[in-house]
Amino acid sequence: MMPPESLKLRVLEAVRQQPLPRRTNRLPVTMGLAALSAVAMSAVLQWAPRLFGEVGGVAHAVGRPAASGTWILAGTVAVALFSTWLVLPFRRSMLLPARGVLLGVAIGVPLLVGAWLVLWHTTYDDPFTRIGWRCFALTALTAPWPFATLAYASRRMEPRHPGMAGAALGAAAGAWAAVMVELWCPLAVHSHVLVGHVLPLVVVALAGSVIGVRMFRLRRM
Amino acid sequence: MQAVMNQAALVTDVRSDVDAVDPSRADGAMERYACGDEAAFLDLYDELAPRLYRFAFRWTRSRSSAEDAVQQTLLQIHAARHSFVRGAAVMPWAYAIARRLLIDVGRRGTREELRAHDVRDPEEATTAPSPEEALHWRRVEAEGQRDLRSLPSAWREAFELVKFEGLSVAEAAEVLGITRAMVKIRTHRATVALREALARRFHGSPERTLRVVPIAPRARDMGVGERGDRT
Repeated sequence: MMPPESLKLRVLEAVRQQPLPRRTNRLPVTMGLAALSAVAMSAVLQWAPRLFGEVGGVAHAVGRPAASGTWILAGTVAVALFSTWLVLPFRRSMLLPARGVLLGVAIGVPLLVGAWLVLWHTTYDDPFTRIGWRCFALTALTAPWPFATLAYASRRMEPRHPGMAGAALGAAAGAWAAVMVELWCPLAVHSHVLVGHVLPLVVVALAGSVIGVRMFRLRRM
Repeated sequence: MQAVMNQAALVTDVRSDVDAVDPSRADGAMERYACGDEAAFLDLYDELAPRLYRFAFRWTRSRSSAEDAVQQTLLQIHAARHSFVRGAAVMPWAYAIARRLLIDVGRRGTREELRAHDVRDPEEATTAPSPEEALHWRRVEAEGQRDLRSLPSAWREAFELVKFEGLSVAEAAEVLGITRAMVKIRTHRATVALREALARRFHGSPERTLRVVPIAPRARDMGVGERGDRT
């Protein structure tokens, strides 16, 4: 069974009417976007806390022992790097990773970040107590920037599971947001970690799922 | 018993009815197209279109829907020309796009509608050697289709890609976004279920008792009952 000749003519005509450029190197743009998002996240970290009447930047975390802070940060950076490596198309493929990997990232990032923070809570006493809504807001404000970068890097890839792919991208972006927020926040008590550090990652992953369905939708041409 | 097993082999061990296509030719054509060789798209079409057309036709049972799916798949590939990853395999990518398009078509109800009205291919051969033979083969085909539809969609998709489309287990795993082991398991389960259904038909009562298997959501949506009958 062969497709009719008329189909071939139709396809070739449609392609002729929509000329597209040859392959372009997207790495410089992606790196530029990554740098831009790093600047944007730093700006959020510096200025957004002032909206809540707090000190911006890393000065807010002085009450936390430097060693604990360094380890917390190193672990979160590792989670962010690993999750980014998993979801981004570094492989020689036009397909995003398998559903299991995406699901693992979407679920694993909030769990790992939360567990890592709680683990370090045993090494020091929190300098003060808070529910965690400030950290929630900061995560929500910083996560869209890395998400935009990751979304650009995954553009035109075939996700196979758009919602899951979006959730994984959201979780990876959330991991980078968590790195920034943990530069600012010295608290690691369970209740605070749950509301301020884990819940926003879950929300970002869910939002990523919704955006992913739209972003990866196959548009008829 | 031997006759049954021969029949089962015909159904379940069927190899791709697509001419052997060297995937590296499609990869090479796409690579040249991404590098700016406009004429390479023609080669790409020749490599991909027949396979995608058969895949889509098997899914939709409609020539026009299959043509639309092939056209859209190739245009999506064209649209991704500037971002094509060097060295990426084209075949699993093309099947993954086509599959997603066909799922969309199914969601829009086209597939159900086509099947509900039993739309036949107008260009399909209507003549047969004899009316009895034609009736027999139509019945066999209908029963085969029913058995296939009664499989869970996950099993059926893996089975169709490996057995009908001739994709390797690795390629099918890429298309479906699951592990190779899972593709093997699903294909094996589908094969066993179809063999059992066939054996029961030959040895069962005239009422034909198909093994009850979990109904795929898509099949359920189409109104296919547990025995594969339309409800």
